[in-house]
Amino acid sequence: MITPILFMLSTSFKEGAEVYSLTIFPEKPTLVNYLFILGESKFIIWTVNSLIIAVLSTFSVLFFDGLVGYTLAKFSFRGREIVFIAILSTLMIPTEMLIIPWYMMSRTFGWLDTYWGIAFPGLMTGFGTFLMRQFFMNLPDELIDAARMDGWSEFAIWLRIAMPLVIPALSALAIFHFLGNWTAFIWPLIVTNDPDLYTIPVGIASFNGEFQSDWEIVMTASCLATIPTLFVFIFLQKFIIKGIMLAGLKG
Amino acid sequence: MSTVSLIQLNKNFKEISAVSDFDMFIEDKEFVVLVGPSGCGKSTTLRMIAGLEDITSGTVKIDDRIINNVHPKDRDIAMVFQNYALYPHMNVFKNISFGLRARKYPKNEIELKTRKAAEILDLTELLERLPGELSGGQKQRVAMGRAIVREPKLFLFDEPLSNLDAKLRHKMRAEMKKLHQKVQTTTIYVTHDQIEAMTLADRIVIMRSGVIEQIGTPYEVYHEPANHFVAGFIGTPTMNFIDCELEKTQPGLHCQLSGGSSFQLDHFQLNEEIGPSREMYIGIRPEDLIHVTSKRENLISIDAQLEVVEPLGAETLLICKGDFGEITGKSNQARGLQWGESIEFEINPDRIHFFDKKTRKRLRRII
Repeated sequence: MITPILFMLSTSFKEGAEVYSLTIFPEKPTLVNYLFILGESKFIIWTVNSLIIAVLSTFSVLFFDGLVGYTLAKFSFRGREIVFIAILSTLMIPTEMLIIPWYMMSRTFGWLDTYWGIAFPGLMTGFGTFLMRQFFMNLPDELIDAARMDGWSEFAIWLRIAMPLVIPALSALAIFHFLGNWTAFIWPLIVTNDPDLYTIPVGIASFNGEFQSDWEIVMTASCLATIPTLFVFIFLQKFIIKGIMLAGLKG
Repeated sequence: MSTVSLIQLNKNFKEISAVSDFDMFIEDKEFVVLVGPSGCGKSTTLRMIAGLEDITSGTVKIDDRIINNVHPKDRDIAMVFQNYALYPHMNVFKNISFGLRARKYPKNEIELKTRKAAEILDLTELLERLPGELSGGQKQRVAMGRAIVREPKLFLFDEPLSNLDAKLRHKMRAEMKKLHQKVQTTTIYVTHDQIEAMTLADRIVIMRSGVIEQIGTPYEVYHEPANHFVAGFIGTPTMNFIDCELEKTQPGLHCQLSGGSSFQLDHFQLNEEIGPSREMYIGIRPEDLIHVTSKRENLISIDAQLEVVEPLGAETLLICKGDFGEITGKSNQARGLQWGESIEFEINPDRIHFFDKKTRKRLRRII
């Protein structure tokens, strides 16, 4: 399992024809590729682009999916089931089918070549809504009632009581969504033409020319691109602790 | 410091009526206990007052303000829940002060009030702990702290002691009473435990199937129960009920028990005309069935065979079987009683309750 990652790492230190030899340890390790990536290419700009879009859309997903999931789990209103089924049914539509409508929509509204254009399809997800609803269903109603009696508004209860108690779910959702966005390729490729707006996957793909591919550059960029995902994973993983939700109840 | 008026309160869940025509006025500083078997609508009534449940029809007033459609946060009511409902991610200090923070009290005042409430409830040492690190009794006290710190107009308690073990429950019951004497806030308390109701309440509301069966002081509901249900619900061990036929004689009533025994009640008249005869239940509390060893004249008594002896220490319960059914009586004599022995119980005619078999209402003695 680790072999492709090792090859990626070792190739990033190789140069010229050595790229095509299958040795793990480069004969003449070099940092030329890294200097090129960080110095001459637009890799830094793409990283910033990717970060902005992934972070913003992750927060947006946590906020909106959390809010909608909570509403669907804890309030009863007419049509609640229909809304829920409608949201669930969006999970059955493959992304490839949506790309053309998204593109036409973006063109009409002038969202092509903008951050908003790249990010908008991922600002709220059916999967996240479903996940959050399931977790909020387990949240004891008494806690919400207690906070109501304590004088908080419904929004404040959601923010201060409900959300902190589903942090494990939020962390999992954040990891999924961040990684999904970080590696998203097709939609950012389609919606952007300006290299200054490329995200990392699109940028890396642009190193693959029509006539030749600089594999060592691609591998070096890929190495660098994995670093933020590792940090996100390590940082969020420690929040995935179960069992805090019921600690305030009973004796 | 508030009065509460509940006027023709109704609650329906779809077609099912959970509470019907609940009418009551609660005085300032009063401690009212709603009691009844599970599913009788007592918690629903409480939740309607809290604003956590919509009202189907009727009016809830605090002082003179109608609060039917006021959000719970604006009613200035504090509530303690059966399972405490402490916020698991906040320590004791934050749990207690959470309501004050909602009302935007200044920081130093929050600190002051929270520490004072913690002191009253003996929680000062625990302020930094999380709910998960507390015992049941401590959680219970935190939940009470959360209620008293805000000095609300009204306290609502929803079976707050039912998750504690018997010993702790007894202790917390006393604390609850002390607390009420100290803070003097109008309180509505829901429980299914009639001992809690009797010990805590200024007035008890006994409910069944969403209907009020009786409202009265602990003395009234115990000694003057409105009907068969209340008489059986209040008091442990429960009241003995015996089928009987009451006949009018001169000068009084003749009481023919099912099974054959009978006794005569001279100079006795009930508040309703019974006609020549009427089917009734008579009810006698176990402590009013006194085991007598020597027979005296003019004694109203019934006989039964001893089946079980339950020594409680201070007194002894005797469970006996007579030709009219099973009865429980009391004896001061704990030893020397044999299974199957014939026991004679003396009855004080003033302590016999009469219930009409059809309406199940209690008839009062007027002469």
